[in-house]
Amino acid sequence: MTATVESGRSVDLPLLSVESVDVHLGRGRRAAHILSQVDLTVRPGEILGVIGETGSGKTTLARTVMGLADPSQGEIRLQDKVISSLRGSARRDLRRGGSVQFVFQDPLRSLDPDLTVEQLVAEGLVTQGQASSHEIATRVREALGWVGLDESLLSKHPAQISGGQRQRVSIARALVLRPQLLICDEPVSALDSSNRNNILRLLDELRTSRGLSVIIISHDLSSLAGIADRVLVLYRGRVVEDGPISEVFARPRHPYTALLIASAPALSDQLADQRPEPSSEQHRPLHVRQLRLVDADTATVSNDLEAGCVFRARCRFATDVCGTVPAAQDVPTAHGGGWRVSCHHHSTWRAELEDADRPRVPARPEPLPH
Amino acid sequence: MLKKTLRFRSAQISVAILLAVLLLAIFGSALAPQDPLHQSVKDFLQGPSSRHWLGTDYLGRDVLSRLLAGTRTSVTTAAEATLVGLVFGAIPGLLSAFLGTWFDFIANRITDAIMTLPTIVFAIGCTAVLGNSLTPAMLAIGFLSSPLFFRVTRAAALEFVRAQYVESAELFGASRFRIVRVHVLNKVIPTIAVAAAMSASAALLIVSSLTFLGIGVVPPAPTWGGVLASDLSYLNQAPWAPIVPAVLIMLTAGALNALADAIRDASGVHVSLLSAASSKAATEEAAATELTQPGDDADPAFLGANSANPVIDKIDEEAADVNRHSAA
Repeated sequence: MTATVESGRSVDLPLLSVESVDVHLGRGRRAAHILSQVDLTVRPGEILGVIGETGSGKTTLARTVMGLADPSQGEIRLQDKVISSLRGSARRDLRRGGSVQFVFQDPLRSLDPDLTVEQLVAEGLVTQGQASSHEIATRVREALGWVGLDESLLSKHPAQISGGQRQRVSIARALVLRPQLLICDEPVSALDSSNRNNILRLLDELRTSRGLSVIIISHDLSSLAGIADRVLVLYRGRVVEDGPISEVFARPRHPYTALLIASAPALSDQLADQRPEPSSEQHRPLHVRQLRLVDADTATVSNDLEAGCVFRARCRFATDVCGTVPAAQDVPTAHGGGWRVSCHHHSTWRAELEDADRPRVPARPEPLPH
Repeated sequence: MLKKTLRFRSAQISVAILLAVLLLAIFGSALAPQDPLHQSVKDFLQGPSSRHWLGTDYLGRDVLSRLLAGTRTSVTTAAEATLVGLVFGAIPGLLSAFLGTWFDFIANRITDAIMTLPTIVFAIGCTAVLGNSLTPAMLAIGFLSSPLFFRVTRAAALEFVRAQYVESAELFGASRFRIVRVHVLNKVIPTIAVAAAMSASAALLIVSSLTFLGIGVVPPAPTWGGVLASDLSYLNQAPWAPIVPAVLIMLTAGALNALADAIRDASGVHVSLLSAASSKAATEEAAATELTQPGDDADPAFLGANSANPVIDKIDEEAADVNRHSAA
């Protein structure tokens, strides 16, 4: 997991950088503010996990990077080139280059039901129009091999193969163009757990063997825990925390991240097991009960992303100062690579919690009912 | 799609009928036993006999000969009108779904304008300007049927414009032309085929009303619609007479419609898949399919069973448990 950090590649120039991006969808008075001041960087060979609940803007973020939605502010750079301002033929040329590929969430919808697997995987190459038909056929078979699919599927239609196979066809048609960056939108949310692991292991393997950078969008923490290097937590269109995944999961600095982790029982148990001293006060896993604001009134939450901290309506540590938007603050990390948190109380809430809850909270929380 | 279509019994019968009509269109005049224009006043409105197999009309002309000789004109007429309708309707319909708001708006307003034109008056106007023959009349009829094709095609194409695979093709940098050709055209064709079959059978009949006014086909040249129209005027004297041309028109129109239906049914698998995909249940369904066949492609060895990843391995064990449960 920390291979990139150990090999020193983390100091490379970022492959993708998203800087202070705002996205509005819709026009005029009906425009909805979907993303606000989003920053992210992906370095070569790095796997970035983007997590957040439904409606937090994960997919819009990916679509903005792909040029399917236009940022109203900020810019997106691929290596040194600003790609967010490209239009028309320049944008088409970039897309034909195939350096950034997107794997849609639902392969049943993103694969044309009338085409065969061979045509689907070849589509990007055919659109490029540079390779000969022989070369295309070879590269299609090579890509199928990477994702572990048999050549006998080439003549099948999407409806004739299983969900796991469809997902791999989706990934193969992205990989066939030999991209530098792969963005996967919920790649495993529709799969059973065994297929889920095959896909995740595949992405991990591709990163190692091909130096591929990957952004994995997910609402499921445990699917990221094994393979991502860094994690970016989105809440209602804002980045609340962005840092090395092992450190963020072990000691989240934002109350929302802490709540997310505490709400995933399998993950919090696992994190507890991995720690050298599980009994240490410093690393005691937090429980949902400690973090949840019981009388949270989310119905009155303003849709204005500029009206203070986005999480304050659900945050039990919120004070008056949270009426202003918190700036992203750097937090020291053990392995480097940057860790930024947007919370006014990021350095104090944990202490406040431990002081207040010590007598009442059991040393080892009971697992939540599934 | 063609092979799949021909697997339907209805498609086979339709194709046989249409081939027969085509043969009649080519060789009809040669096959006619008598001169279709020869009048014999003393033989008018006779029933079927050995001399006139299908009887005679109000001028004593042999009906069988008139129908055979009229096939070519009738078929050409219908084909011409349909083709004109397709060119002026289906192509702008497809484009308006893809060329953006302005083109769509203008094309829609033009269509609205065309729909306000009265058919007969417009056809008379066309023949007055372009000369009274078949082609100008059919140009008029086809042009006036183009709103049908425009609306049907546009509606069908709009369904696919926002399809995710179209978006995915855009992300590969595909041109609009390629997207229409690869991802949209074959899904819209069944719908257009149904509209074309309807329009062709309507054109067969419209010819008769135009013949009545002496537009397009000039008497005494025979057409199916013309024979039908003249027979209808003498129902008192020969009530059975309209049946023969009517059956011929019905068979042709029916065959066209059945063929169009077969084309639509042949692509039906995908249509049902699409509607499933558009529903929210799609992901659950996919998951359910997976769970019913866990061993299908769950190949733990495809990247080495033991990853260096404790988390993945742990989830792997859970997956194995799930599989054991479902096997039991």
